[in-house]
Amino acid sequence: MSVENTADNTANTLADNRIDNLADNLADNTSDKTTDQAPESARVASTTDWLAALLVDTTQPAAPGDAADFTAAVMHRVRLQGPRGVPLAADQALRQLLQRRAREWHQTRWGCGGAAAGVALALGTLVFVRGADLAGAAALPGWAALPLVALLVTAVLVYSVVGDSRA
Amino acid sequence: MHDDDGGAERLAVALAQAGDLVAFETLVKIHQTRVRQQLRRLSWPDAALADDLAQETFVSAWQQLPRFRADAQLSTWLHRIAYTRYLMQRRRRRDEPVSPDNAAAEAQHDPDHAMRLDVTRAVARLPDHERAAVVHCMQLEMTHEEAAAVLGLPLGTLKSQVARGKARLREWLVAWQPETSA
Repeated sequence: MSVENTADNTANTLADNRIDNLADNLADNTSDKTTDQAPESARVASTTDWLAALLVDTTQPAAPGDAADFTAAVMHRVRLQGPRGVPLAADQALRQLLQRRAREWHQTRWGCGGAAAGVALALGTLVFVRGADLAGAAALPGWAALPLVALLVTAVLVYSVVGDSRA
Repeated sequence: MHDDDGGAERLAVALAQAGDLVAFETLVKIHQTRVRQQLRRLSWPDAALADDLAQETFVSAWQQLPRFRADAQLSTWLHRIAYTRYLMQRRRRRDEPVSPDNAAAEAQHDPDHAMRLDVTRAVARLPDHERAAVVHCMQLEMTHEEAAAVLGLPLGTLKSQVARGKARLREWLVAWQPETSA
């Protein structure tokens, strides 16, 4: 309501002043001034008619509800614009949710990859030791590789569990 | 009172920059009349096109609002976007014929309306830069500084274009008589 009143008052003030100001402005052949600087004595009656016609606002909305319709149309298009239409709090919450999902996926990926690497390493060690036994070689005892395998698997599992608890 | 309005507008701008749709709607209500007047003057006689451009102007303003500097004048910024939109549209549709206006019949019965129509036509006949200068400085009553900011022109260039436009209008219209349009 106050917005509309302010707009109406501004329009009325402009309407009161516009013809005088424009007549002054056009009558000044030698210098260009801002409209509020034109002297009162500079008016020229012979040009007033067409100057007045120049100033008549023929562009006002035809129907009383036209401004409201225009505003509604603009706001409808604005609401279709995407992220700028999301209120700030919701935008922040959405951003935090996406960051948490990305962090969880990162930890899950490392956990699965580490566990698979541990299993593969253990199987490889087992195959190597079994192969060495079958070949009768005694260069490397089979149990020597087990602590290393256990250490790797434990480290991966700890990283995964700790990461989940921090999320 | 004016300071209060300015403070309220600055607050609305800050809220709209943060994504507040209600605040932006308030800004649309405040500025839509002037922006539409500007575009209707420039696009005369195609009022529907002017309103389409005005809608695009505000949608674009919503997108660009986070980059708006608080020390600038919002109305000047909006008019600048509107004028840019108008120029883009004019480049696209330069070769299309101007749609006929239906005001001529009304003018036959109303000498005042006939004069307004002839004046509006005369303004529309001005070269592009002179017309833009006349519309913004005279019809929209902007100061030369404001109009120069909206049109993206140096102040001296704008003043000379206003002077040339005025001289041309005076030449065309000084001998106007009601009978000539009847």
